Amino acid sequence: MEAGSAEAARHAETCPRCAARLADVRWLAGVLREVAVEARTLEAPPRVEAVVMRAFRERQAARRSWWPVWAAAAAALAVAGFVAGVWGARTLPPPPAVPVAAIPAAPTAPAAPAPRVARAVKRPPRPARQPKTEVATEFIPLPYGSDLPRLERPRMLRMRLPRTALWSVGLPMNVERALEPVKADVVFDEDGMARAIRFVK
Amino acid sequence: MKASRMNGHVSDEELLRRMAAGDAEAFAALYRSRQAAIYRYALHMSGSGEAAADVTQEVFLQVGRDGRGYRPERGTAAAYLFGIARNLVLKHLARARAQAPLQEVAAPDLLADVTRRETIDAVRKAVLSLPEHYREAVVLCDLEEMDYSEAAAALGCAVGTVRSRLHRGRAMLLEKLRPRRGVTHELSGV
Repeated sequence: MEAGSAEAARHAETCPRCAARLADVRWLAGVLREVAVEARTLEAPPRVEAVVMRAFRERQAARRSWWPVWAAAAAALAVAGFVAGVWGARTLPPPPAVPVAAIPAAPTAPAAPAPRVARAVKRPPRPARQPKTEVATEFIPLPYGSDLPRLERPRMLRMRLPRTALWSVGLPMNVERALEPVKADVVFDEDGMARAIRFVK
Repeated sequence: MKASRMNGHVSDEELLRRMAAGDAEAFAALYRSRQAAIYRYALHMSGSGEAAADVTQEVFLQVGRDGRGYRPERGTAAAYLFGIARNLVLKHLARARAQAPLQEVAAPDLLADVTRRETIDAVRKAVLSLPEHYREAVVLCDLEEMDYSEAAAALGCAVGTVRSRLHRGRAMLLEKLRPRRGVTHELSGV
C-alpha cells in the first residue's frame, strides 16, 4: 500500500492530521492482510474437482469417438467421387460425330474481347425462379446435442456427405445408392464441434 | 499473486494451451493451481460458500468447454480465469438481488468487543457491504494480492480505474470500521 512510502512517513512526522490518516490506512492494511491470511486455507470442496474433471474427460471421449465416423465418411465421399468419375467415363455413350466445318477454331492466343453489339431483338423475360422444394428430416442431436437450446453462436452448414452417414445416426439407407452422396445440414457450436444433423432431399 | 504461476516448470498459460488440445492432466493441474483463488474471490464477493463453489465449478466447466477462448495477447491466464469468475459472480449477485431485493448485508456490529476474530468478521462484513465495483477492487488487490495491471485485466478496465476504485473502497471501509478503530477525527477528502 501507498501508506508505506517514505515520503508519506516523513510528512506524517510533522503533520498530526496526516499522521492520523496514515495510521488509519496502515491499520486497515493490517486487518485486510489478516483477513487474507486467514482465508488462504479456503478452497473449493472436492466435489467441484470431481465434476469438472468428469465433464472434461467425457467431452474429450465424445470427440474421439466421433472421429472414426467422420473420417470414414470423408474417406467414403472421396472414394465415391472417384468411382463416380470413373464409372461415368466408362458408361457415357461416345459423343456424336460433328462435321468439322461446324467446330469453331480454337483461339491460339488470348483474343481481345469482342465488341458489344446492340441486340436488335429483345430477349423474352426470364420466367421467375420457382423456389426449389426441399424435404428435410428433423434435426438429430449428436453427442452433447442435448445441450442444443443453450448454444450461443451456432452455425449451420449445408454439406454433401457419403450416404453411410445415414447409418451413423440410425437412419435407414438404400444400399443400392450407397455411392451417392446425400445432402445434410449440420449445426456446429463455437468449438467447431458438430452438434446436430438433418438430411435434406 | 504472480502473473503467471508456474506448476513445476509449466506456466498456467502453457497449461491452458495443452488443455485446449485435450490434455486432461494439464486441465487438472490448472484446476489445482487456480481453484482456491477463484473460490476465495467468489466467497469474498458473495459471502456464500455455496455460491463460491458453484462459481468455481462453472468457471472451470466453461474453461474446459471453451479453452480456445483464451488469448495470450489479452492478458495472463489468471486474468482470463478471474474475468470469467467475475461475470459469473456479478450474475449471481444480480439474481440474488432480484430474488430478495430488500435483503441487505448486515452492517458490522461496531459496538462488539474488539477481538481479533470479531475484527476479522467485521472487516469481512464491511467488504461485503461495499458497492460491487469497489468490493471487487478491494477483494482482488487487498485480499487476493493481485497487482493493479492483473486486476485491471480481470475487471476489464484501466489501471487508473482500479486504483481509484481501490482508494474509494478503502476509504469506505475506514468509514464503516471507524468506531472499531477508535478514530475520532473526520476523514475528509478521501
